[in-house]
Amino acid sequence: MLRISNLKASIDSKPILNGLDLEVGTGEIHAIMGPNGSGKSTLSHILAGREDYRIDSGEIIFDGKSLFDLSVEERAHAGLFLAMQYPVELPGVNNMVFLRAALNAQLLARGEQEISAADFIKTVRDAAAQVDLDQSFLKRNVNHGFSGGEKKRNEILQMVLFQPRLAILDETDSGLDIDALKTVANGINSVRGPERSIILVTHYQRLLDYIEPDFVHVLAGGRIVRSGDKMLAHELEQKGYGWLEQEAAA
Amino acid sequence: MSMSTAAISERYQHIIREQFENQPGHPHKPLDRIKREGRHAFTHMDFPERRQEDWRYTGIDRLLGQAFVPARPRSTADSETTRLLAPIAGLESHRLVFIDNRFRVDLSALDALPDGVSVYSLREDAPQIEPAISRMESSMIHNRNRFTALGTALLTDGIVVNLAPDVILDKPLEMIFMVTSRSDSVCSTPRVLISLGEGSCAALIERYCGYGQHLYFQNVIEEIILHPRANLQHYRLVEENDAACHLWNMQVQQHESSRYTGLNLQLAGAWIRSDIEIEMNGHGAECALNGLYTVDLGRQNDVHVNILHHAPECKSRQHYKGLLLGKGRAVFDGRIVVDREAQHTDAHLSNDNLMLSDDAEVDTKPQLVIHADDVKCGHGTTIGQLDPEQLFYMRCRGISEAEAFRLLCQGFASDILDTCEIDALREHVQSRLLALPGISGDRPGMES
Repeated sequence: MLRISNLKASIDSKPILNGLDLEVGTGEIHAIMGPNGSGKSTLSHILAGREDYRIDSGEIIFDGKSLFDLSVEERAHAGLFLAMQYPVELPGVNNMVFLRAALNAQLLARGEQEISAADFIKTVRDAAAQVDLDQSFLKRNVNHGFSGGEKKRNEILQMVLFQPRLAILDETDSGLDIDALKTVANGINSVRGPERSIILVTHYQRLLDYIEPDFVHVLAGGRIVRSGDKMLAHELEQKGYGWLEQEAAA
Repeated sequence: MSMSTAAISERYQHIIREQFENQPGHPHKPLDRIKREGRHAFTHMDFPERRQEDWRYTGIDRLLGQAFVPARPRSTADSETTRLLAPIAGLESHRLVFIDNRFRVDLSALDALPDGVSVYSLREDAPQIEPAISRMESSMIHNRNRFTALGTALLTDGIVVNLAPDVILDKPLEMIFMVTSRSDSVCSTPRVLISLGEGSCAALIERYCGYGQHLYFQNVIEEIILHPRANLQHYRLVEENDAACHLWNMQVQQHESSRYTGLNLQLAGAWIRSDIEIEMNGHGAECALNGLYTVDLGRQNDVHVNILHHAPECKSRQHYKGLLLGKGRAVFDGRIVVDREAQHTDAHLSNDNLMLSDDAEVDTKPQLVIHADDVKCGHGTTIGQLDPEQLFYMRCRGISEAEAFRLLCQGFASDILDTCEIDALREHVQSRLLALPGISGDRPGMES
């Protein structure tokens, strides 16, 4: 579904990604772990289409198409979803209005029919219940005045609602207490399926106690330095990242 | 066809004289009395100049490019007039129509007004009109500036609305104003006099519908008296045509424990200026004034608000927001004055602006003038731009940049529009806002 080859990217002439390779098959869950500053968030941002970065070389192929040929919104239409580390507040923009506008934009772009108001209300209420977000948050303005945990739930709600082909969850576990973490993990597990792939970008192993990844990769110095199964995550938990960073530098 | 100010003055003197001499039928004596006051004021005043503080940012070249002649009343309504008079979906109202300087009873719907509510034309016969004329004489609003003097001197008709004590108006009173000009030279001088008796309650919707494409000058003077415990909701929707000038002078007098809630939506017109004065004369009165203005292309929108706290324990709130597009220019000049006697005043004013273009400009000037020593007063202004992070977030969810822009503009305006308590009107205004060319994206020039 997704193939990243030899991706090099920089910001303000400072290289961040240094030849990153990653292949994500359909139905797979990949965890990308790594120390601070290793390029995890940069990778998420580039996948979503942020323009602050310069792509120096490499390619990203998503469902057979180069991601670089698609605008930010076209990526969403194609089924790519990024749950942000810091979800943005939209004062004055009602959550229901926003969610419906987004869902309909995606449906229309795929040549499908817009969802009716009645169907939408039912679907969005179910999604909110699934991520344990009180219905009242649907009537509020997008993320405005939400706590950190509520913002993350609102991101997962969107993932449940949009049913993307590929979801990238950028440090979705950061700042969550244990109950919120379980809820978020349940939301992620609920969209897991043979047609859908998920990339979990995380600093800590604890999210992986609730979502079992098929693959774990360690990002250090702007490339993948080690790949393995879920056991690698446990190893990292015990040994930290230092030994891998040293190996990468060597 | 640029003329000097002196030549414009001369021309207006001539137009005023003709108005006196050339009245169809017999002259209207009570109306002539107040017109003479206006004429006198006009003769002894000068047009405002930029060196006057409250006209500093307001270019009046457009207004002084020519002498506008009063629109001639017609007796029929053409198809565009009929189209503009189409009711707002879902809005139930008592309806009053004022076109080309005339109260049009034939186009109005006032039969169902409840007892205790009277609505009539300033052209009514002497005994009925006498109190309104005396009221205008004592208000002296015609002395405010040379344009109010002119509006008074050229007065041909107006609207008087009176509510008896304790009357509650069941549906909003909707007043529609139009100038069906077919040349670039016409003015309209509507005069609106409203009085709410003790303990009465009403909602008023005032709409200005832009007809055609010609330049006209809508010169509105409005005087409102709220007797003790009266409660007025006053909605005002200005959508003049793209060439028109709209000048609005309003004075509100509030007595004890009365409540005035205003919502001013100034969405379209080439040149719009509002001069609002609210006098809080009675103990415990409250006013809340909210407004939204948009400017685009080379248009101008000017808001001047004076809240005068003369009595103790009054509360006032002002919140205006502006959406600035193209080469638009906006001015917000809000002032709160608290007299020494007005202890325990609670007053606040704020103005927020969203700059959607590098070429737009706003001058915002909040002022507090406080002579009492035990008050709670504050002000705040902001000028901001759309946050690229917000646009990115929405695009990330599949929403096009143009749609994200619209949603964010709507979001910016939402807390102002949400103060509208009439659902049908609020929905109408929301859709009108989104349909503005600079916001709907129907015209190039949108910044990204």
